[in-house]
Amino acid sequence: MAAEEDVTREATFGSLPVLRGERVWNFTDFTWVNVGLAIATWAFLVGGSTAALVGFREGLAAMIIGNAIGVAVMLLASVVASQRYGVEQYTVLRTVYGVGGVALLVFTVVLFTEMGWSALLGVMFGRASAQVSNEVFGTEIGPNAIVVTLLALLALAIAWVVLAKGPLSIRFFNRIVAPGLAVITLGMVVLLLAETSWSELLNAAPLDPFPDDRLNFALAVEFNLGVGLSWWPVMGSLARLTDKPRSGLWPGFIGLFGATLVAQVVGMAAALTLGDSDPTVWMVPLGGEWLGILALLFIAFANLTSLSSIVYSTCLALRQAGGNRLTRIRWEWLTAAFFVLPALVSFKPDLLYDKFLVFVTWSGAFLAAIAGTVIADYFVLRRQRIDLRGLYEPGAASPYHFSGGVNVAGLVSTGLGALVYVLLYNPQTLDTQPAFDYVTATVPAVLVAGVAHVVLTPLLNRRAGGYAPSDAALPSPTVKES
Amino acid sequence: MAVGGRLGGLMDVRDPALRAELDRRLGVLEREEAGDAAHAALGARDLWAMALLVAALVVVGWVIA
Repeated sequence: MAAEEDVTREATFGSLPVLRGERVWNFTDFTWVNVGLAIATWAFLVGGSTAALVGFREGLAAMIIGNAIGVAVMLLASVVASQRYGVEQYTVLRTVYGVGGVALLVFTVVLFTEMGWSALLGVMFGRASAQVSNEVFGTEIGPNAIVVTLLALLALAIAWVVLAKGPLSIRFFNRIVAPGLAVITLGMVVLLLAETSWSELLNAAPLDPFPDDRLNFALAVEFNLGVGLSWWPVMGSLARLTDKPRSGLWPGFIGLFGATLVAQVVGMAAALTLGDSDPTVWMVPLGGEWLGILALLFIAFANLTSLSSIVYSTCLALRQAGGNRLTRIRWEWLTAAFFVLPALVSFKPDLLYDKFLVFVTWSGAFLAAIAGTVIADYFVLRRQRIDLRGLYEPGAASPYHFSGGVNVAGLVSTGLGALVYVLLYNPQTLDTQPAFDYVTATVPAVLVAGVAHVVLTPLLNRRAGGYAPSDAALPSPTVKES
Repeated sequence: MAVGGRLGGLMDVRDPALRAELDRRLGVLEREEAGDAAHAALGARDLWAMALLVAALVVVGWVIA
C-alpha cells in the first residue's frame, strides 16, 4: 500500500543524516515555515486562557517573557544539534539518554503530550462546528454536549483517514491552512481595532482570575513558558533541513516567538473585550454572522490538518523509537491505536479544553527538565560534538549505548528537574511556593536538570557515553568549527 | 516498494540496504562536506545574542507589567 511504503521510507531513511543537497531551507524559507507553524488555531486559545488570569497589559508582558524564555530554551534543546548533524532529534537524543532512554521518553512524555494536544484539537473542532450549527440552523448545542463529543470523534476519524493516506495528503492540506490562518488573524486585528478602543482594551478585567494578582501574573508567565516549550517535539526534525546554523536558530525564534505573539495577543484582546476565553465562542460576535461562521469553518478545517500533522510526526517518532516490534504493526493500526485515548477524552470535552493551563504546564514540567538536560549534554559536556557514525552503531558498538541502552544520569537529571518544577508549582493542585512568583517553575527546572546532568555524568559514565577524552578521537565526519 | 518493505527493521543498521545507504551518506559527509557551513557549530556570538535578546525581552515584559 502506498501510504505504508511512504511512511516506512520516511521513518527509515528519515532517520539518516541529510546531505547538502537535501538541506532545502535557507534563512528566509525556514522563517516562513515557522511563521506558518506558529499561527495555529491554539494560539487563539492560549491568548484566551491568558486573558482568564490577567488583563491586557499584564497578559502582553507574560506572553513576551514566557515565550521569549520558553522558545529560546526549546530551540537550544532541539534545533542546534539536529541542524548541525542533519539528523532528526529523536536520533540525536540517543546521545543524551541512550536508545532505551529515548524510547522511555517518547512512549511517556511525548506520547501523552501529543495525545493531549490531539484531544484538544478534536474538541476544538467539535465546539467550532457546534457553534456554526447554532448560528446557521438555530440549534442550541452547549460546549459540553454529546454532539460536541460526536463531532470531536468525527474529527479524529477524518484525521485518521487523512493519515492512512500518508504524508503527501497532509502536506497538501497544510499549504492551504497556514496562509488562511494568517488572513484570519489579520482580519481579526482589523475588526478589533475597528470595534474596540485602546482604553477599553487596557481597562478590560481578566475573565476568571485568582484573588492574588502576583500569582495570576506568575501563572500567566508559567503558562506561556509551557507554550514556548511545547514546540520541542517537532522542531529538531524540521531544522535538519536548513543550510546553516543561523538558518536553524533565528527563524525559529522569529516565527515561534514573533508570529505566535501576534496570534496570541489577538486571541487575548478578543477574549477580554468579548468576555469569553474560548475562540469558538467569540468568533461570531467578533466577525459578525457570516464572517464569524466562515472563520469557524476554517478553524475547524485547520484543526483537522494540525491534528493529522501532530499524529503523523508522533507516530513516526514512535516507530523510530519502538524499533522492530512497532514496525510490524501496520501504519493504519498504529495511528488508530494512537487515537484511542483522545477519543475517550472527547467524551468529557471540558477535561483538557477548559483546563488548558493545567495541561500545558504539566507537559511544560517535563519538557523543561528534558530541555535542561539536553542543553547541558550538548553544549557543556560535549561542546557541540557528537560522533555521527557512532550514533548509528547497534547495541554496545555505539558509544551512546551507556548501560544497557539507558543513560541513567540523563534520566535522573530530567526526573530531578521535573520534581523541582512540581515542588515549586503543582499544575494539578495549583499549589505554589513563594519563590514561584519570582523565578517561575520552568527556569529552576531547566537549571536543576542541567546542573544535575553535568554533576552526575562523570560519576555515572566514567567510560560510557562518548564523554571520555579518548573517545573524542572517534570519527566525526563534519565537525569543523565555525 | 521493495526497498521500503525490506527496511522494515527501523534503524537496524545491520540491514544491508540501510547500512549501505548510511555508509554512503557518512562517506559523502566526510569526503565532500567536511568544512561546509551547514555543519559548523553554533557560534558563541549567536549564543550570546540569543541570551541578550531574551534578557532584553524579559526586561521589556517587566516594564510593561
